[in-house]
Amino acid sequence: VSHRYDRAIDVEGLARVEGEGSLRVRVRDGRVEDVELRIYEPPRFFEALLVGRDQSEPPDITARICGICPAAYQMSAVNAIESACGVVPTPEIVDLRRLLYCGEWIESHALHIYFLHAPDFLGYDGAVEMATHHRREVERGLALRKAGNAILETVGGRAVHPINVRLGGFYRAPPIERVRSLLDLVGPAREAALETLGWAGGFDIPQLHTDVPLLGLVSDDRYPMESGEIATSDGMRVPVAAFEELVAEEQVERSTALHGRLADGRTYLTGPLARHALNSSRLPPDVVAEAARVGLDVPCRNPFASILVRSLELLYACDEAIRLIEAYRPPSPPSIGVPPGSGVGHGATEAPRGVLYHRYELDAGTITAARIVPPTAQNQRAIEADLRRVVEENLDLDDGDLTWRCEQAIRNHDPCISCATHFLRLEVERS
Amino acid sequence: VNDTLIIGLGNPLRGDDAVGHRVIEALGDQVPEGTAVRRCEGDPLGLLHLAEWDEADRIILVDAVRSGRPPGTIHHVVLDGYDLPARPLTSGHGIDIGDVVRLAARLHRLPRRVVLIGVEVAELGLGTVPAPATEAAVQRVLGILRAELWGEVAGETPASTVT
Repeated sequence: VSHRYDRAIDVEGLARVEGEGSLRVRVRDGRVEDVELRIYEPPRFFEALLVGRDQSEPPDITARICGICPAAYQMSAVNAIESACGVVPTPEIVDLRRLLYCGEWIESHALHIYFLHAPDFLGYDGAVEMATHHRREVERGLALRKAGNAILETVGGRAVHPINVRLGGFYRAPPIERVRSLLDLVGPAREAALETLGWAGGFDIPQLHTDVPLLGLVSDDRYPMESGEIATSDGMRVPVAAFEELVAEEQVERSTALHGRLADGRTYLTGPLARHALNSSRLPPDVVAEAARVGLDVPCRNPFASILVRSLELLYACDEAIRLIEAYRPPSPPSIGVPPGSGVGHGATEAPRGVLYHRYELDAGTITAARIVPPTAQNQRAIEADLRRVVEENLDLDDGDLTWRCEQAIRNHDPCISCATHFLRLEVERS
Repeated sequence: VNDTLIIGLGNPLRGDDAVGHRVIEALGDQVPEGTAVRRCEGDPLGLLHLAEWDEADRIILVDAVRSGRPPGTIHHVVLDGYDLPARPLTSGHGIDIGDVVRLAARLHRLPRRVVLIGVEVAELGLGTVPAPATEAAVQRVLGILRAELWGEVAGETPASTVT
């Protein structure tokens, strides 16, 4: 099988990604002719159904786009609408939002690292199979996820699709003793995150170099989660309101999710690699020291090493959560008034998978237009670029191993097809 | 400490998938002392975060099932976590309740007895009203559930029955 010049591999239905899609690769005369990530999950029309709704509704409606990162949708929505209405939330409310966001990063990263990605490095079909020989590690992943969920439940009212977020803040400020009791789970989770980084640091990580521009949020005083400006590895930095000048979306036949690219046509990447490359200087020294201990480059441009970046962010999110819990004072009032707005508002936050952008046009508090650009839609071209390199550099692998490596390359980006179409089947053709 | 955990599963906004919730509603508080009742709308993996999961000596799962039998058919199955195929049940998520049971077995976190009471469903489109055949199965599921809860069934019932 090795070194065949013309090959065709088909994989119907990628596992361990959220949503439905496929991949098709064609190799002719030893050259990769075509790489297509196909997303066929039906489009979900969220932007259209927001039109005519009250400005208070997007945090709850858009949260339904994703069961893994609903808080990200809520935070991008409130940022956008509050900016249209000229409202700036209090620092206490911003801190509580950041704590909610920490919960989501912990829950989402733990799920991806342990249940979706680690089996690739250890040679298992999934977490269930991995659990037989790695029981302690799987339990550790569950404990981390439980800690993240507990934060979401305490601050957001429930772990999936939180119900306590509103424009201007929260419906209720959680009682101080309930928030403090989170330390019982988040304290041990911090240790579990440190062990996660050491564990992932021992994986045999395939080599791959992505040279596309990286795009993420930056903020002067903190590693970005709930807010920031848009920046790229080219040195560009613009306010969130200029996102649509920087990024264009196009329709392609193979995907029900719009493809993102830079306005100049270039493919770019958002997500943990971008976030870390743009913000590693804003991580606390002890977290930076842990990154150095596992040999994480800055910037890290190997998508297969994204599991290390996620593990590092898991550690940071636990640190941040502990800091915010210890400093917590219930915001009073729990929300500030947001008057009906007219005009345009832009909001962006760092969802676990990358920049999540929302824009709303309002007329006296009613939505007249909405636009949502999720990370997976932006990353489709970068994933295809990775796949092309992976196939080119691994043509000596037999079909089974090459397919495995391709699927792993897709999972490097933790794609959320449900968000993007809000997308996977793998089809490699080497004729 | 509860020795029994009953879990109604499904998306209550997807037609017949609500059947697990309908059973929990119909059951109300008619359960023996020491019985915890929970619902699960969309994150089965989260069940392994519950203290009740590890406390229970017996877990009863009530869920929608599709195996091609007529709607309303009831499956009463004892699970051991190793006889389940990789993707046995209907779920919109990557880690479904079948995987959760398989995972729990490998983590040595399955109680003495795990029972699935599955109802064959037809319509899983948007909507909150289950089809008549599904609704009609709710009372029969209650009968099986009550026999599980009050009767001497452990070790006596066959591993799998279809009614």
